[in-house]
Amino acid sequence: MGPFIMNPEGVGRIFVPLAGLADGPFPEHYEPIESPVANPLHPQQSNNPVVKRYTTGMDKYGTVEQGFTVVCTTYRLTEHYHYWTKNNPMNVQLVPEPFVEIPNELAGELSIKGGDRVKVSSARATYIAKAMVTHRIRPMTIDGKKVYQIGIPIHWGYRGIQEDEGKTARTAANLLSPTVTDPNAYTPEFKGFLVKLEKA
Amino acid sequence: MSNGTLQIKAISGHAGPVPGRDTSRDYDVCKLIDVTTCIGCKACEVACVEWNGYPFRETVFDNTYQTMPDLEWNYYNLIRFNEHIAEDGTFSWLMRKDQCMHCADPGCLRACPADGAIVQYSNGIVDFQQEHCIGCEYCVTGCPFNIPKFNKETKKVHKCTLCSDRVGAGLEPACIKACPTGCLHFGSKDDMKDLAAKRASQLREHTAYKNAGIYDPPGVGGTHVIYVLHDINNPEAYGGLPKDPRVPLLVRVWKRPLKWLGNLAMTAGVLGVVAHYIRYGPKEAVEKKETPK
Repeated sequence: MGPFIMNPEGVGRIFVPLAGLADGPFPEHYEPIESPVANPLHPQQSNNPVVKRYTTGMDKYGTVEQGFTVVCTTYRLTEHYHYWTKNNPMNVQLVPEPFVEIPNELAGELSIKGGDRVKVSSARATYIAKAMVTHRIRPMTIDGKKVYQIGIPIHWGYRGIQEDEGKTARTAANLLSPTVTDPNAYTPEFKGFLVKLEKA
Repeated sequence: MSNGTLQIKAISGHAGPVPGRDTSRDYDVCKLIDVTTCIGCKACEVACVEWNGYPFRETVFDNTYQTMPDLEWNYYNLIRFNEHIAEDGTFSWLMRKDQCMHCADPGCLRACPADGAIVQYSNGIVDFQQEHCIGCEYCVTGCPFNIPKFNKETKKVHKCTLCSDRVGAGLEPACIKACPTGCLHFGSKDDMKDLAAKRASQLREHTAYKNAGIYDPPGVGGTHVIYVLHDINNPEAYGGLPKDPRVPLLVRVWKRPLKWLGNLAMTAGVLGVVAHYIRYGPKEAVEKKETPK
């Protein structure tokens, strides 16, 4: 049995008629709302026209021209589960503090060393944590431009063992990310957005 | 950790035979760690701390995913994370579960002067008996893998027991039970060597890891914890796994030839005294006449 158990034919669909998908009937590539490049397939419509957006004052989007040149992604760690385990000593022992993973080359350009406090700012908020300088994230070449990516694990926030002792910032990583959701599954766009990185 | 159901094979600092030795047959046990399928989730670390009943401790961010820089007396099991860049520029993130290797020829047991502080069971587990430990830390010197850790408060040395208490009751070690990816296996040494050989040849034939192999160093007589490594020629890349571990020369010389030379010198000294007594008799004190002032 394949993974497409919700389709009667049991396989994935390339052509989805009858408004089965909000942005169908054919699969399409769109850039995120905040992207360092215009969509190479069709630059005049770079991102998804039917994406769900909100219209509060917090829903601002940054551009490369405004200085938001670094791509940021957010993710989970194997050692933590969402925002629960920051209250559990065993998980806190394994990964005690929030951090920002920074490629070695970018850290070199900004003279950031591992353990330094860095400030990540998007058009919406700022986030301060310690830097983890790594070779695991490498610079990318997208549309001929050198683009750096940084990564932030999401597991910290308002309350927790370390937060209550005043050892970590109480800001959530998702204050940085944009509240835009995919028009079909309503998956929020927390995996790719633009930020500015500097020493704190 | 003491266990009545396991058969003792060797005892540290013990004169005379090992009680009950060779009275029953036991299989050599072995833990197989396939580092190629480890995801670094640290479930084994938590299982180890929980089974051994140690408290959770405060750690600090150290620019790595590794929980702490080194093993501790109450932290027997640590995944070592290493970013490795090969000569051809290819990058790999190596994770290795580090703990006692349970050598067939344990340097700690050889170096230990305290009777019964370290025992080796006939199934291969090397176990520290803290009630007999005198806190001299010779085992730390004797270990080629830098595993035993000293507790400064109780003056006792601790290390991984390969869950001798669980194994004695027919269970697998706690780390094995916790592993979610099946990278840890436990069984007889022969079975594990067989399984490791199959995995290594699978890696060599079907992946880019042409130097995949089994780490079971002969310098310490083989170990009861064996690894499948991506590159058997470079174990140092996995957080300082020695290429050819041996019991340190100092310990070997001190515990074998020098010990017997010392015994010889002592015996010769006693014999010399006796011979001198027979030849010259007791020393007579020359009485001094006290001259009155």
